[in-house]
Amino acid sequence: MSVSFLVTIATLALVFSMGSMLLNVESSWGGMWDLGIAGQIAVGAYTYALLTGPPDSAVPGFDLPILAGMIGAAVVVGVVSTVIGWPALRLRGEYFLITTFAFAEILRQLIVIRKDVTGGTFGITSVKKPFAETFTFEAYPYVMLGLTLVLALVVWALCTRLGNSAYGLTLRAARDNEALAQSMGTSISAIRISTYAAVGAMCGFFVAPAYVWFLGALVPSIFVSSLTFTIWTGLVIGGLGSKAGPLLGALVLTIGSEMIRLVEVSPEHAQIISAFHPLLVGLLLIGVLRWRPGGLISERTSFTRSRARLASASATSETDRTPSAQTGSL
Amino acid sequence: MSTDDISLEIAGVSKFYGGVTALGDVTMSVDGRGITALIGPNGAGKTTLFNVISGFGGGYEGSISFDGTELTRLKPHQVARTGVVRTFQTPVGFRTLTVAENLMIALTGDRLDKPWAPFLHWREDRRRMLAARREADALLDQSGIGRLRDAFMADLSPGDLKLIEIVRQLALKPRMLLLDEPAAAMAVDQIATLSQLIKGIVANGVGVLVIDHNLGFVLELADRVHVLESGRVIASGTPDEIGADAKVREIYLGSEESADVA
Amino acid sequence: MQNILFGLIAGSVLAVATSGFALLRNTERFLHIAHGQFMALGAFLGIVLAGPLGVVPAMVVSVLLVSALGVVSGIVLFDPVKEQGANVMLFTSVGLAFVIYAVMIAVFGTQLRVYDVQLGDARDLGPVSIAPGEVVLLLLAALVITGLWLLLSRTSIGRDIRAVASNRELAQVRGVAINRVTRTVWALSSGLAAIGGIMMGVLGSVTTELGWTNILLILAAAVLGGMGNILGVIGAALALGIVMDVSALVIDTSYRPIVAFTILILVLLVKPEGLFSFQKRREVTA
Repeated sequence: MSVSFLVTIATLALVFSMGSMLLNVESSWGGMWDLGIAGQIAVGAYTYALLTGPPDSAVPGFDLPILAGMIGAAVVVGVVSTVIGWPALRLRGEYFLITTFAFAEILRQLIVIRKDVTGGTFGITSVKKPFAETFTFEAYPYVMLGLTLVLALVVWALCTRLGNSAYGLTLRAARDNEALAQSMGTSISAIRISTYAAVGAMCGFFVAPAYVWFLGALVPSIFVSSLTFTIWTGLVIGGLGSKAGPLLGALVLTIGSEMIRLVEVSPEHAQIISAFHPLLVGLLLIGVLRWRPGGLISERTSFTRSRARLASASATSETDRTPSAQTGSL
Repeated sequence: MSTDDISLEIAGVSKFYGGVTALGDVTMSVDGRGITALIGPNGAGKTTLFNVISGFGGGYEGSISFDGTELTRLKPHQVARTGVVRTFQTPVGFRTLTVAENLMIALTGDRLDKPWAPFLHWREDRRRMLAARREADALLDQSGIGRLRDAFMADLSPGDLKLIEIVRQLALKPRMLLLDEPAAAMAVDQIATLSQLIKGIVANGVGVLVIDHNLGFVLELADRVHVLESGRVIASGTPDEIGADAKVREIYLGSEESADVA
Repeated sequence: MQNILFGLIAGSVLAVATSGFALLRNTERFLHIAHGQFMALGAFLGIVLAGPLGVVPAMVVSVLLVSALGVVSGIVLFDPVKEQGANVMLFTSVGLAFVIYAVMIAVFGTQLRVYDVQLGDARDLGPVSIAPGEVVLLLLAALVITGLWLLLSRTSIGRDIRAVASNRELAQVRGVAINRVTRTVWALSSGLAAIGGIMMGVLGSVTTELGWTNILLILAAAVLGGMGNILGVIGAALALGIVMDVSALVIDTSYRPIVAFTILILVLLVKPEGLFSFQKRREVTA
């Protein structure tokens, strides 16, 4: 078991965990069960690769700096998500699921078809990675891991802030009881489409570039529904609606399914190895939903501390008020 | 003062479902102060009238206005903004949130319900959350259910849920509150708290229009009573007058409502 | 004209598969994503068993095995989570899809396989040309669909299935044997998936990706057809097949699936109940 192998798994796990955390915001807190996140990541990945790619390669790029590529990816995915979200969010429940699923596949097919822009099924083979020149080849995986860890922590902080805010509360209320939230002044369509677009943009800024750096090359066959379901399974394991849960769940899932590569097998059995990841995803998904549907951390547990903090902050300002009245009189 | 003239004017309201007259030329003036009760047997049209007033009712004839503002054909959130707020018979609320948080939804105000708000308006967001929490706590204390503030809606009894339904709608600072069956499925001690709560609301200048099948509860509270039957108003008056009215007695004798008289 | 025929053939295969999906969705009320994998499994078993059993017996056995798998899955995996709602059932189905997919990769490998079946040479039949094998497939599809329709409309179990599909709670109260209906529906649905998979394999080839590439088309056909209505679903599948193949005349063939999904999305926006539904759309969410 080499350290560099562990480093690689950890990096991949962190990339998926960012996807799971962002998915959590729109799907668990927002109630929008999105089966198309692979499509949004695909758009972000290709946008980043094309914006930062060298102009003289087989698939020419604009050779922009990395940060510009990340911002560009965020903007493009945000716009695409808004365009997709506007019709999709008029549909409820299973129709939204199917529509997002369909959109992801449409996006992937478009990437394959427009091979003049995207390199088609051969994809893009050179991507600009941050600090690639400053570190040695041996040291770089550690740099990659550190960078991805920082990004994941930022995403975690952003999602936590979202959860604890007035917006987060309104989002969850709209999920719980749409009609009631409306009659209390919330525009459901506005909060939903802005959430969907914001999550898409964050996927474009964080998840897509990090995944591209990890992979080193891009082909459309990466962005199949299996990616969407891997991210979903990480979320389900970690706990739908929790803050740290998706991070943990994705870590557990990725580490679990990649560790199988440590087992040395002969070439005839190689396909068993490649079957292991979907097998684990499937078994975990079935098992968690059956026996621990709340996942590792429940939504309620996740908000305990922020609730307690707000409650005690409220209480400390009451010291100069008259003590609570008994029943009723105002 | 002219506030004495505030009232909810319902004029000639009729609503038809297929061949059935759900509401037939209902006309009444509900005082913007005090407690008005709306009673009648099942299917008399009481909830339909509430739906119509609050904007959930679909098409109807006639007109409704409150304090001079036309409510006819407004959408539900527009009606709520005029100060006419209703409660719902099944008071589920926001299940995964705490009681305090349910109130905070009404208190956090506009502009903060977009995903960039927690970042662009960081301080204002934190300030408003804290202010909303304080207001929610105060409101819950004043209503006698302060102990429930951190309880989860999903864990509460139906009676508690009904109380919270009212208090939460109070957080919207209504001028007229429409209470839909507030005492249904409540235990006796909870009804006592409820009565106190309603009296407190009215003492603060909010008008109340209440539907309930529990005649004892409703007649004890109300200043004025209207009786609906088959979509029409058949009697109006003080609780004593209504209690003595022969037509009303005839409707209630022998039906299950009479068993509800406390 | 030839394209319409191709579309009809592809559409009828899709119709067979989708009718099984719709049957399950109407009675058990969730989207069975693993349906695609059942198709693929049926296709693989049909090829792999042909050696020892012969081509046609292998197909029959394959359908029976996949039906049995469906019934067992229903009992072991889906009934226990039913009360958690449709979203949980959907993700359980996704989990099952991954498990079946993994097992297929491990056992059958990822290379392409073909059926040892000759479709025959295409003969001219008026404005179109068609191979005898294709005629057989069309007839088979028609037979299967007619059989399904007869079962649903003429038999007592069919009546029970329709009762559960239109109002499960009411059917239960009226004494319909819900468990029997559930088992039967799982068997039928999975069997139809296997038949669809085998037909698809005969027309083309079989890989482990077959399930994933088809489930989206099935979803599209089911939604377009209005879900509550088996005939509508069949009509939608045929329509989709024809439109996709006819569109190949004007647009690049690689755009075919995009055409299908775009139609789906447009129809959903305009008429969310689907093209052929006569009842109000029922939603299936947790």
